[in-house]
Amino acid sequence: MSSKSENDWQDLFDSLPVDSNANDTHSRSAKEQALKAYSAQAESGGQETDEDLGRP
Amino acid sequence: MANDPPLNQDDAMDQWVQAAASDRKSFGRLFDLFYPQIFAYCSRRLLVRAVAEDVASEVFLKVAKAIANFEGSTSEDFRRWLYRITTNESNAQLRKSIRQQALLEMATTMGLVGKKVSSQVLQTDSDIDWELIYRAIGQLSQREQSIVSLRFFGHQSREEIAHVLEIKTGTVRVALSRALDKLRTKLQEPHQEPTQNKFNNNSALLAGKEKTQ
Repeated sequence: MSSKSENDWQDLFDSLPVDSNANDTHSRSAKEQALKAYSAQAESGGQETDEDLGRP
Repeated sequence: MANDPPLNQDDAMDQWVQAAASDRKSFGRLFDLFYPQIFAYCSRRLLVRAVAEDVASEVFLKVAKAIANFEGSTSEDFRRWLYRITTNESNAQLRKSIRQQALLEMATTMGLVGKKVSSQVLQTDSDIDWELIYRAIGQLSQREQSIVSLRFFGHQSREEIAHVLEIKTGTVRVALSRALDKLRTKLQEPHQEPTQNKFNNNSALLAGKEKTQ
């Protein structure tokens, strides 16, 4: 596949009319949740699963 | 004694990754750095903002729980791990065809994918709906969907995709080429008009996901 063809596909997908900018309010809330989970795992010593580690 | 040279951005990010297992502040910095691009990837893959926000949040919850055992040491390692988890989470979200249908219907109702698009790459006489493009992507194999999504929604190079999916770069190249051929063929086939507003209330179909939050 030529790089031009791949660039054309990228242009097509980049034209998708979706707002992909993160919302500040939600970002803050997500960060709070993540930090809370971080603290909890730090206290418990960290018990991860395959899924947590991104293994299919 | 000479002062240490100032850290460049890459070195600083690597230090945050190395410290994140035991330093909450470093983990917070990594969140600030990577959340916007992970959310952008989710939103283009999943279309509906609320669903993309749920999945992006879930990704960082998983990262927070597993960071103590993360074996990478560079920001590149961390980024690949993030994209691997995000791709798995997004695929899980879309795996149920009824949920994928619901997302498409909702996105159409919200005016996100009803717009027509024309592109030389499609080699068609008429413009095509985004809904049809997403339906065509949904008919690819799971691995092909992951590769197309990482390449075009996540803006990852073939080499990066190979690392994320833990396959060879040559495999990515061949699979991507085949996947795009399949997409082009599907989009060139005569197609039915998108079934707009087929469901009156798609939120019920997504409720299962939202209730787990």
